Amino acid sequence: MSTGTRIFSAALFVFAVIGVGRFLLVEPEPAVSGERTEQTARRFQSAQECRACHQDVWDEWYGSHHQIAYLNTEVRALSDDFRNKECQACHLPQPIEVTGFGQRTLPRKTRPDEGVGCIECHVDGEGRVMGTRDLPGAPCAPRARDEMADVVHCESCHNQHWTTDQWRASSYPEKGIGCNDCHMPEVARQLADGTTRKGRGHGYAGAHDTAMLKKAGTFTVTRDGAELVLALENTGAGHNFPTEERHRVVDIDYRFIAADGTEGAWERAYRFRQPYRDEPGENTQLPAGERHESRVAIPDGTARAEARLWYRLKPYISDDDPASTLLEEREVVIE
Amino acid sequence: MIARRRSALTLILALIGCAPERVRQATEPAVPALPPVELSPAMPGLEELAASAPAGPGEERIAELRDLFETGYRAGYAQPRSAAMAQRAFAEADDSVWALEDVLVNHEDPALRAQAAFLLGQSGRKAALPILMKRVKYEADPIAQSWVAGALAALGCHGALDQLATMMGREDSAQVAGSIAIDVLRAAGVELGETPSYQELQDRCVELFGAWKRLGVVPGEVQADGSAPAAPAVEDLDPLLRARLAAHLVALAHQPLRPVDDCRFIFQRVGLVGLRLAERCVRASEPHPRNHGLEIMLGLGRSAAVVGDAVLPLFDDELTGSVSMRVAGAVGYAPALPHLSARLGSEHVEIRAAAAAALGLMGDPEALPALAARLSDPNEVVDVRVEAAAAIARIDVGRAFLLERAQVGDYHEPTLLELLDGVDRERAAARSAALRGR
Repeated sequence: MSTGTRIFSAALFVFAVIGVGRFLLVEPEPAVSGERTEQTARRFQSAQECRACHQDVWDEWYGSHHQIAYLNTEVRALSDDFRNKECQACHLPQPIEVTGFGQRTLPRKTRPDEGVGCIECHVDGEGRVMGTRDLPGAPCAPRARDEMADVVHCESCHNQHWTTDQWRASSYPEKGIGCNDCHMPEVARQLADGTTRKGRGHGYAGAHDTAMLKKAGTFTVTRDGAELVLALENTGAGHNFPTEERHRVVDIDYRFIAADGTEGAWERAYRFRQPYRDEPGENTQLPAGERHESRVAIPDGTARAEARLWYRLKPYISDDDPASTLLEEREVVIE
Repeated sequence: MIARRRSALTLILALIGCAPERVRQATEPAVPALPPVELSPAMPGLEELAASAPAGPGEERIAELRDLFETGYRAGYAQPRSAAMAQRAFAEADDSVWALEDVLVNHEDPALRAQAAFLLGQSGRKAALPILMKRVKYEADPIAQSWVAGALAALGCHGALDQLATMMGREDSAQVAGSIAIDVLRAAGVELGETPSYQELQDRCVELFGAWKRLGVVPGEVQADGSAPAAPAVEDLDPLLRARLAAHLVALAHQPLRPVDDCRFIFQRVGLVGLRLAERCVRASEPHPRNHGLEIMLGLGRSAAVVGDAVLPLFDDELTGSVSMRVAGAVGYAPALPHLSARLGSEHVEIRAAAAAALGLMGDPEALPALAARLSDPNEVVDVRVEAAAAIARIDVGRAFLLERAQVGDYHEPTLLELLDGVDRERAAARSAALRGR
């Protein structure tokens, strides 16, 4: 073999080794774009993936009305078991960021038991995690997005029934009070090293939480001469009370008790509600900061009056229905 | 000799190693490229069409006609002679159909709504289709509902025969619904005995409804080879019908939930007549109309086969990719098969699940191994495994073989039927057991 042939063979051998090496050990390519690191290349697709590190948040969220958004029997009944497909866009949405914060969401068809979960609020269209702070060292490496703590984050779904519009029309934006201040209160989160940091609760207390409902309004019942004055002021909700869907109701009921102990029937003084589209009547929901007063003539011989403030998830149900919540009870002595 | 062979092998390996990336990729299984996405704003055109509705006679005239209709048809409202004269005057008025639509939608008396539905059916006014179909969604009176379904059938739309079958199952409307069904079925060429049972009528109505869902036309319009004719072009539609349908599609771009749902309800039942208009939404650059357009096609199924070309480019669309794939499966768009198979390996759960579902809807037995692999992979997420399992059940080659034998007639028919019944029973039992177990 000539020297030239030997050199050529050696060179060929080196190329072959390089070639086979390259073929067998193909280096991983960035999944989407150059800016993604190995750590953020993972596409987060289920709340289960978040659970390992965020068990406390999972525990708050699991069982919340966000988690059961698609399973909730109340919603299933009202949406004709989701045959009313348009409801699905918010009750089983794609991640909000995909369509844009504040924009209507689009429906997904997987993970029905996760309803509105970690992925829908915290993951962008490329599967990367978003938070209120940049935390590149965390396993999920969240990137800060201003919208995360903003009303616009909730708006994609919660303005379907005009709740954030009601908030914008109130004095709450000026006061700097947003959705999270009431519905995701601050909590202390325990970190792995034993220290704590400020976080937000993920239980989303709202219309199914009696304590939350009680905070929304101030209910007063007084006597003004021959009249009983029943008033409700929206002192605690940054939106109408009640808000959201048209079947939600707040009722003020009263009755008179005669001196001989005879109890009159319960009567309705006022109903706060937006009627269904095909029902007559106007929207009587109580906007934030506003007060409504009803006056009722007190019959002769009345010893005392009783009044009740009810919150009902559906309009045409009785007091003993589990969907009726008694918020306040007042008694006024007349004689 | 050996040295030469070694050199040749070394040369090949060297060439592979130093070859450009794209050459090496060519040795891997090819993933077909999708056609380019071509979307354009749909709403301006639809809004224009919606605004182009020919003017009606005006509120005053409609109120006048409505009075005439009430005089003629409201029980006990007028003397028989006056009622007969009013009926005649109403029938002779050129513009009475406008009042019929008004009564159908707004009148409090269900008997008058039922009468209005019947007369609309007799009028031949295709433009009434969206109004009648929306009534199907909202009509609470079972007798009026039966007449609405009958009117739609009289106008060449079998999209409410499922409702007619349901009304036959109710004691208060069975007789009326049954007599309407007999007329509808006979007009559709269905042979019935002298005294058909309610069950038979219900079954035949459900069958016709199924055929309508598959083809989007009534049996008389089906072509000789069993396929549906081409969907009518938008330009060829009656101008008022076109404007009314377009007005419903315009709702898809807006927030209110119920009009959006109304639109989807109407387009999923009205047949081929609305297909070309709804297809505009599939090609819309506006994401929500596009999504709803695709969902409409998903509901239409095989009768929307023509939209296959429009949905394929959307497979990689971040917003509507997964629903596009499901549509391709539902409409049976065969060119989508390799793209769907390729996406069974997507990193995105929603896409893998949609690919599995679509392959099941396609019914392609060649997809079985890939679906079985998804199903049996313990590391696969349950959404995808469930879709893969459902897809395998749909493809159902074994059941199809039995059905084919029954059709061809080359095997003992009672045995085949017994086996088929058994398969179906086992499935139903398995479903029940699974649900009970929960």
